[in-house]
Amino acid sequence: MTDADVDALMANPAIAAIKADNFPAHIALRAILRNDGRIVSFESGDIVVREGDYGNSAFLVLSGTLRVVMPPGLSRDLLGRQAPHKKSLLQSFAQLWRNRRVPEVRDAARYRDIAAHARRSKSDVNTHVFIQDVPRVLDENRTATLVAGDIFGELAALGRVPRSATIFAEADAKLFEIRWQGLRELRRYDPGWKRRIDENYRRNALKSHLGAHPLFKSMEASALEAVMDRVRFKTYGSFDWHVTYKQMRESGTEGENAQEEPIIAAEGTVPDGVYLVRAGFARVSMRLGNGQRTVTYLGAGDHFGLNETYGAWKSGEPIRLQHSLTALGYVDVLRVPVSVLAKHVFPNLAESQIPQDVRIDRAIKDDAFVEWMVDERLINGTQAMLIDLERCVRCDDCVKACGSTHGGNPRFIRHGFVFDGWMVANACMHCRDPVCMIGCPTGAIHRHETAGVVVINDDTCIGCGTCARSCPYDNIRLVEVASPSGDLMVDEQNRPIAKATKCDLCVDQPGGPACVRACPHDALRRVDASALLAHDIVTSG
Amino acid sequence: MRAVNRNSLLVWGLTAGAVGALLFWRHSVITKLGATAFVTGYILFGLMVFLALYNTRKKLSMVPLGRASSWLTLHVIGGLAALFIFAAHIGTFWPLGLAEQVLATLFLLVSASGALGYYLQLWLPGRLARRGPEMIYDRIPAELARMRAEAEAAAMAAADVSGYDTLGRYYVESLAWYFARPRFSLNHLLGGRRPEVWLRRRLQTIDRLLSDGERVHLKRLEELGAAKTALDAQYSLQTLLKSWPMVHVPLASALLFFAVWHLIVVHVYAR
Amino acid sequence: MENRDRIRHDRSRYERPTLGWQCGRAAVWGKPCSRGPSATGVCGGTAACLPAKNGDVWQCRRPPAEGGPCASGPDAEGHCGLQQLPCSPRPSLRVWRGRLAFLAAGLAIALIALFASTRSMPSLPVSSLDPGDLSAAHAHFVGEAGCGACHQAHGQGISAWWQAAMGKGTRPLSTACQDCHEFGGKGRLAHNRTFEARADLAATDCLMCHTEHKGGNAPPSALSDAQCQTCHTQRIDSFALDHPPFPPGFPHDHPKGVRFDHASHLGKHFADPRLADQLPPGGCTGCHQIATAARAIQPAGFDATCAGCHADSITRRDFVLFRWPELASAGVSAANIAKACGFSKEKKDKTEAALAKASFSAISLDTLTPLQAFLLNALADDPAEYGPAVQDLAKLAISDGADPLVELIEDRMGKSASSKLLAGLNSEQVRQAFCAWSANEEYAPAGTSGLSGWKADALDLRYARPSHADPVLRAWFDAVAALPMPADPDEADLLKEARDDLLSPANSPGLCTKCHTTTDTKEGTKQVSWSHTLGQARALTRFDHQPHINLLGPDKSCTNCHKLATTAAVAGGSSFTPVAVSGCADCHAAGRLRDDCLLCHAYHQDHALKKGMMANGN
Repeated sequence: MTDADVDALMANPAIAAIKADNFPAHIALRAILRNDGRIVSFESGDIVVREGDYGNSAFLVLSGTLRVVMPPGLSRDLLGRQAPHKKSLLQSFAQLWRNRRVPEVRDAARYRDIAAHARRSKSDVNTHVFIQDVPRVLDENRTATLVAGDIFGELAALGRVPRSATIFAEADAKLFEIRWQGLRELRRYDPGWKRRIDENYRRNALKSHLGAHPLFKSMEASALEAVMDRVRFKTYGSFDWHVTYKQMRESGTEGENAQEEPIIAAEGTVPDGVYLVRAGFARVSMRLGNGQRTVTYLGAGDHFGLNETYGAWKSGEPIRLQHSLTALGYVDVLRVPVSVLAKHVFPNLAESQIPQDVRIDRAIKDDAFVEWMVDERLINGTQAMLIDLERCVRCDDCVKACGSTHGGNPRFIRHGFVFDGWMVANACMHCRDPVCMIGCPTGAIHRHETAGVVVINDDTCIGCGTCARSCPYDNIRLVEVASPSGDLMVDEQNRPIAKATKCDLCVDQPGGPACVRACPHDALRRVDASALLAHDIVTSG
Repeated sequence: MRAVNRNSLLVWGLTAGAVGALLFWRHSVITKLGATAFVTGYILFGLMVFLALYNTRKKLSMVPLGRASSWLTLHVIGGLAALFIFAAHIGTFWPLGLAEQVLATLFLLVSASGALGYYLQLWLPGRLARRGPEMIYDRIPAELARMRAEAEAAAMAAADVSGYDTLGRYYVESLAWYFARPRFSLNHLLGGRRPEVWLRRRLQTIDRLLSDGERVHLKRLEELGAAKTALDAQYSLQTLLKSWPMVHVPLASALLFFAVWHLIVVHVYAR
Repeated sequence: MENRDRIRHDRSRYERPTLGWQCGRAAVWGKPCSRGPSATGVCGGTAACLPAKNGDVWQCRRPPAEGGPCASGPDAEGHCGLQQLPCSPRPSLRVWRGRLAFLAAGLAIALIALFASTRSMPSLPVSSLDPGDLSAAHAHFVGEAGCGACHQAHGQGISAWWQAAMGKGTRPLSTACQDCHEFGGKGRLAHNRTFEARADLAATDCLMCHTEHKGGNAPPSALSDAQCQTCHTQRIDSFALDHPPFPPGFPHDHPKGVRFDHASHLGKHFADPRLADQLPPGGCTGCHQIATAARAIQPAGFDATCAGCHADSITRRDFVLFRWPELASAGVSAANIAKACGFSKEKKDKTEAALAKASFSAISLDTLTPLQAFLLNALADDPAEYGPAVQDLAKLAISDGADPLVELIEDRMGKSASSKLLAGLNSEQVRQAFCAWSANEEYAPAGTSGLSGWKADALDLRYARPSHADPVLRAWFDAVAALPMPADPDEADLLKEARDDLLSPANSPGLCTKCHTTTDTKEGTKQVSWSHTLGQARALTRFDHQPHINLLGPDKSCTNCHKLATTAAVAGGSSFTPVAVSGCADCHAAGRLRDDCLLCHAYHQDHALKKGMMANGN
């Protein structure tokens, strides 16, 4: 952004309302706008945000009109999604001869169709996918209109939740896009933006989030309203934690431990409420000797400090926290203050209805595995490929099975993080917090409609590599695709055409992940990290 | 997790029961002067075909045909059961006809190689995991080449420090042999310490001729040597894990054809 | 960190074990190139990267894993500046395994085909049909026919094989056995004859018990006790403990051809000092010939054993075929007699006087013998009835000699027998005897003879002084014993009487039946046992004295088992106490001597080899 751009922006009513004086000198408003924002323009029909995408920025409409597509939303073709097709038994069998011996063979004709839907933006280097027949889309879908001055996308940017709706430009539009870092500063120092964002959040997301927690599940609507009004939000750590995490790892300081992580609630203090994790991960640790011992980690939906708070309310004596809660990378936390709980929640619940906090009941010798899982951020995985190296005979049957279910191309590599005879192999873990999905320009990488696993639509992937670079675990690979004859496909500049590939958990195959089925020694499993820790299935014995 | 699979226990039990029932049936039929060879023969042949299907299952991993581990369990149990049925089928320890001797020899060799393989599969993975670091078999040559390049570079760099080519010469004379390709494979299989001893002795020999500056590079050579030793261990054990099926599978394929021939001959001649 | 780099998505190699080829440089432990062999095993090329054109400039695109863009960079035409030598990729271990598996399968098929193509096994030392050596016995007999002797489809081509495999068009293997082997009874019936009446029993099959191709030393006849116990369900694990007791009197209870009272001979007569010089020497073995000991130990025969004492008692008992009976009157006129017999005038007159009605006084006072009564079919003691028959016979005999008698015997006893029955009979003497008898005179032959044979004398036609094993006498015994009972009750009575008389142990001619026993046949006739031992006793049991004698020694060993009974009455009429299981089991028991079923029992009845078998050269 040039100074002229910033000047023009400062004149915009939504920005002009911000009191620049509230910002500290080292985080000046202009600097925020300049460093964390940019002006983007969209032509009529260009999709700005896609339902289901993860994003790290919010938008302020400067000019033009945009349309918000209401449920049920646009067809998956328009969104660049892949059809949730499951192969029949015959089709799966047919892979025996349909699979190519040449690696990464693609049908170039498919790409040409898709390419017709994408165009390069006039204002920036990005590629925009556009809707060709806007009137028909308007005809077939209920839409709401966004006009100059409206803000959207802030929930996804701050709360790390998928975009809730698709928004496209009806007429040529100019938007101010601000990254989450800038947005956070605006919320922090400007009461107007804070109110705007928080209210939006309360209105749209809080109710469903609270209602999912056992503590509030059976509450009356009026009481829940009252709770909602008093709930505090806070975000810790870096939204782009994977970037800093990777930098940290590359710089060799991966021995990060609990002491250096942002503290949400400290052990030994009296809690000022119950903490609910809304997104991201937090480490629960306790002091032991001269260090911190990781008890467990919390993910979305988990709570912290409930037992102490409830005990204090029950006994009337303040009870100090038994554990510390620290942010692992990025974490978005809700705090329900003690007073709210005492008034609306605790009196209505029997003691048996109070969920128990996680307790540590393992020997210190078994800590290493948990620490490793947390330090490597493997806790993110819901389908991590865990290989028992003391059973694995290195036959590569899993890799070959993967190849045979993916057109002859294995979609993972049998190497990875190794700890004490266990390997978390280089296969997509289908993370709870899929950082790979942030910033995909075409929406090719997305959560599968029915299965929920993260998949890449090969047709709409443009091989930019954003996802591959984002994945903290190196589980996404860029490959150069070839024609059936084995020649590399190249673009006009003789550059090979690349595609991002990764494990799709055999979402289109009958019978589930072929790798698991193919392991003759039950050495390979797909595991949910939380289940892995909860059941202690690894550490025992 | 590493505990015994309950299902496989069940299969073991059922198979033992089935084989026992077959042997009992054979005993009771033979004492009634009935012909059991056809029944045991067909069961054995069917079992052998089923055992061979395990390989087909591997080729059809895209089709949901049950877990390979279940197949392996059945393969192992079936193979063991086949031994008993084989004994029941031939009745004596050793058949007399040449054709049947070939068949029996193949059967016993396939069984023996299978049993050996099964044992190796139980024994070697643990050693591989404990020895570490994990290395994909196909990557070993590249990894070895990388280590060799680094080792050569370290040996050469010592000359830049001191102006003498002592370490470089010594590398060519002695250590180059070690980095040329995997060494001491058999010793690694047996779990011996010969490579370590060999390497330490070589490094000690040259140590006293080096300056402190050169020793930095010798230290690097030592690290690379240790890494190479670990790599050799991976290579040696994984090679064995990948080699035994080279005996088992071809023999099994020959066995099947001889068994079919036996079946035909028996039908034509023995009735 | 090198460990991290190894798994970095942009630094580590994309491993594709599905491809099955390995860079040729890696195979010799060099650095494999990043572009690797293709799926078909072709080297990935000599260029290190595929440069891309950016504007007018070619840019190096060497991947970061290989060190990133190279220093030399592409040339003006866009060729990679880092050329390397091509390699010859090597297949992976898995590919090798597949190749070996195919090779092994091909080799198996080739070997089978090569060694199956031979028609007869001996022409090639090895055959993929070789089922193992035949037993020595069979190996000698298959001869030219080779495998085809039993296996029909052998060497007959695919269609015959197909039919054989389907069980069509060829006969079962079991029938081939019976090309050579035959049995006393149906071949595929349990114990051949024993169950002949049991139609409900399923057919047995040779292959149920017999196995071939188990080598020269493994005859198919070698069977196990378990096989017997399939049907004989009473468990016999040990002969000593489980075998049912032998029958009472065993083994002396079998039917005997010759009656011999061991008790009286050994106990009484042989002890008599007066007879000492007539005894066969040497106790048991004096009579029983141990040199030829087998299942039975035959005595040496009458002449060597019994004759010393009993020779005379045979010759004393003549066989009277015809006795001129008492008649009420003369049946033939004197004139006719004289004419037929060529009497002189004087003699004719004398005869006329003797035959005159008024003065007729029968020369004979005897009635008919029972045999005579049967032959003439007349009551023996009624002259009125038998008179005409005798006189009719005489009427003819005076002119035709023995012929009418022959006719009569042939008529009553069958045609074929007469030549043996009447061997040596002098027809003229018969005519003369009848002439005399018709003339109411006793016949006086010209000159007396002490020799044995037919002779007419006084009123008898007799077979005199028979010897042991006399053929004529034996023929008479056999013929009469074998005569079927006539339907007419009177006639049957006559035959019965005649037979009983002839076979009477007390006074049969030659006293034959005193020792030789008679048995009843199924047809209701009788049979005289001329031989010492009767073959059919316990057809499925076998025993051999020889090894026992060899082992125990010939002297006293007989009495180890055969003990003379102290009391007279032993079951089966034997003079010996029975042999018990325990007697055998002293030696025949586990750990000592064989005690399996087949040692004493046979399965087949009268197993024999067909005569044609040898002739056919099979």
